[in-house]
Amino acid sequence: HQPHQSCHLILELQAASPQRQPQRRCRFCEKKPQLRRPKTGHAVCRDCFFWAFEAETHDTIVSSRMFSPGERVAIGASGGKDSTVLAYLLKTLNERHNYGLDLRLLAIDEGIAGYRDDSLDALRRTEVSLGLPLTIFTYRDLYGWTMDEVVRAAGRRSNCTFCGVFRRQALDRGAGHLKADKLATGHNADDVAETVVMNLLRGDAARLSRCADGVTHTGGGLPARCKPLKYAYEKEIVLYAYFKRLDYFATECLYAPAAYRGHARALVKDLERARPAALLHIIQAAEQIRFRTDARMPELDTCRLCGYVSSQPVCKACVLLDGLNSGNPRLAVGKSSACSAKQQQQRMLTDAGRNSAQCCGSAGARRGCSGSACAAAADS
Amino acid sequence: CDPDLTEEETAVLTSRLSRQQQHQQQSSLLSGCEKCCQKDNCPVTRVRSAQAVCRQCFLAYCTHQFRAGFGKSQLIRAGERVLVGFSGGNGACALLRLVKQGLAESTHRKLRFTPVFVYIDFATVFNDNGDGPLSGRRAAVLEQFDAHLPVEFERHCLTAAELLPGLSEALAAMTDGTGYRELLHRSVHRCLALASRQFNCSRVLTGETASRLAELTLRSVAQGRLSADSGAFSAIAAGGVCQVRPLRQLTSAETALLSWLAADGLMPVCPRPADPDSPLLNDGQGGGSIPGVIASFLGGLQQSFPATVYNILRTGEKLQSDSVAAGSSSSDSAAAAATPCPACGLSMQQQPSGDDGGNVRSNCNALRALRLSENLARSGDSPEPSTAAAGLWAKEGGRYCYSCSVLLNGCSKRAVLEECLIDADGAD
Repeated sequence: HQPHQSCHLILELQAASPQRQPQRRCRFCEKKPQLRRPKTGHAVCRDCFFWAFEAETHDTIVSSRMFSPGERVAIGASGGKDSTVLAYLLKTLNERHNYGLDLRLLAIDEGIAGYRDDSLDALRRTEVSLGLPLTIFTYRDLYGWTMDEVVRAAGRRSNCTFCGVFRRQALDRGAGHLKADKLATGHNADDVAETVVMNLLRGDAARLSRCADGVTHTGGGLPARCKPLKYAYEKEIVLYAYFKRLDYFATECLYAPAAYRGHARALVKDLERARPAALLHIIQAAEQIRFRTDARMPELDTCRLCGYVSSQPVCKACVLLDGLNSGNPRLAVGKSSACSAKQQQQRMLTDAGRNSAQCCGSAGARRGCSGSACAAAADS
Repeated sequence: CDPDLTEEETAVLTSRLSRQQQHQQQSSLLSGCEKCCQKDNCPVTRVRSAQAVCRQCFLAYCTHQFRAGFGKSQLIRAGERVLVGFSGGNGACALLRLVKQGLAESTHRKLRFTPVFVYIDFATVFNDNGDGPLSGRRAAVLEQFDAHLPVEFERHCLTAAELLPGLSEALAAMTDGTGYRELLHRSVHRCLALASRQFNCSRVLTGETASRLAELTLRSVAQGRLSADSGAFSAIAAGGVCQVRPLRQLTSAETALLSWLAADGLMPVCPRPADPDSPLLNDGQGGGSIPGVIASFLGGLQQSFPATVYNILRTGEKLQSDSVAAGSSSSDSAAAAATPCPACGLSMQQQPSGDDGGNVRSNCNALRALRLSENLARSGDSPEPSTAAAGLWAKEGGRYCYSCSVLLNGCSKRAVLEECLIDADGAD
């Protein structure tokens, strides 16, 4: 069992274990309890914890009708704890309850040296141990840039904007390439609660309306996204991975400095400490949200350049790529005025019309290409 | 620094003063106030539009924000009796000042309602029989009434222990800090609602600022509800009482600055009422309380991202109200058909149903997941949750909404707490 970076969390959890407040019996059986569940505070033995965690995930999948028999499900995997636990759980539950799913592992290599390459090594070991086929797509193949190159060009600020936009589209493209019906991600209750808080703090009503959905239909022919671990606490995922001795890589991304999400994360952690059920309460609030009928919301359409789903004429990935390729990477991040953003989109649409004859036209992984990359390659 | 301000308010004013001093050094190179364009008028702060404004323009800005809410909502008619809750805090002082100014004879298009100022005294609830801070606060507030209110304005001091007889016992029986603070917050508004009925007032004005309303919105989210009511200009609470928040467009920092710049002697007397000895309020131990966590978080974030408070309120404006009374008067058929929670007056949140069949959303939600986790029962080696657990939530279709259920379950003397929260003589 490898020594993992989340040891401090395990020690914290063990410090809160039944030894401080002795319980003689596991809540579910006669055995001696070995841990206290962060979600409920119940003292349980290891086997009953596994049983409860798996039963809850199974209930989430069944009650939300997440999958149908015969579907191919691409599991977004990074080699981290959430996706490793997700892959293990889906394989276990698929066999135990006969979901009838065809499971595949899908990974995105952003090209971050010293981080992603190590986590992909862990993922390759998971591929072998679980027997699930693994497919890796790289930013280089899809966009022509690695994150290291993006950071060198754009600087350390707002690099999470690039990576988040690119990775989301990359996962969808990868799942489409695998001909998957669904894309399962390892987002846990902490992630969803942070997203709800973050969207509320930033006033993003459109994202707030859909960020708590367990199954999100992106549209545009792309696979629906599912979050089977949506109600699972991050601490319990760590416990599950630890006691199951799952092989994962736990290090924070090198380029995750003071991202705005960090503020939401700090609040959610403090709220969980004050009242553990607060995470699910936040998710409940977002699930029950009702907007006024006259509230203006952006409508989803498709990008005119790459065909990806977008609320703007040109999707954010194309806009970011255009900024990188034109040597002005800060163009689409930060506080740019709406007027200059529209001007950029208009220029891109005009250029795309001129460059379409020069486009390599390759399908598949190059569908993210806006044409300008091909034009630059043709010029060189 | 004024000794009567809280630490947070002092820190805000101090930082703003230091920024003002820096700005004043630079402003000699600028063209003075950007609002009135008078070079001689030195800017004292920046308002929401990032304009640097002088003292006069800032005071006019505050007055405009206060008056604009009444004008847009058309809520209060001429001659109506309106209860004005006065706590002695920052927002309350700003509210008193602005109401008095708005009702002055010399004011152009003066406001025409009849205010009734009320202070709710919590001294006896916390066993303060004359020597403690709450008794001192009551005396200071009464002095302020005498010094700053015109003789013709009605003013009253009501005792919370008389309005809610079981409150002291209920507070002592709360088992966690979150429930304690939530009960305190609700008891203030219950007392104001009862006072409005006693003095025949149709509306209740409170001095909640934009910062405070954003806090309340986040608190509501953390307890399972996100609706327009927490941060709206007006909201209808249990019993049909209409609460109006005229300071909704001003942050706590701006109301603190208003007190300082108005220079009329009306200053906040002390922070919100609380039992300083209660271990439940000692946020340094045991994880703290949700209100405490959110207050400190939002105060810090607002410094770095000044639009945070307004973003939260703007998002709330896009939401529907959960108030059943409000829904019945609008075209919202879902709210009109909903059963109101007798404790808070809002619609009953969706209870996790056993098996609804058709609606996936009602079958899978966070409440259901939480109840499942809390009530799991294992039958031998069976991998399935016991059916006993599945049947538990079928019986949960209770009398109260989920948030109020959590509050009630957090009190060891539930019956006493129910008496405090439930409006037996509710208007609806």
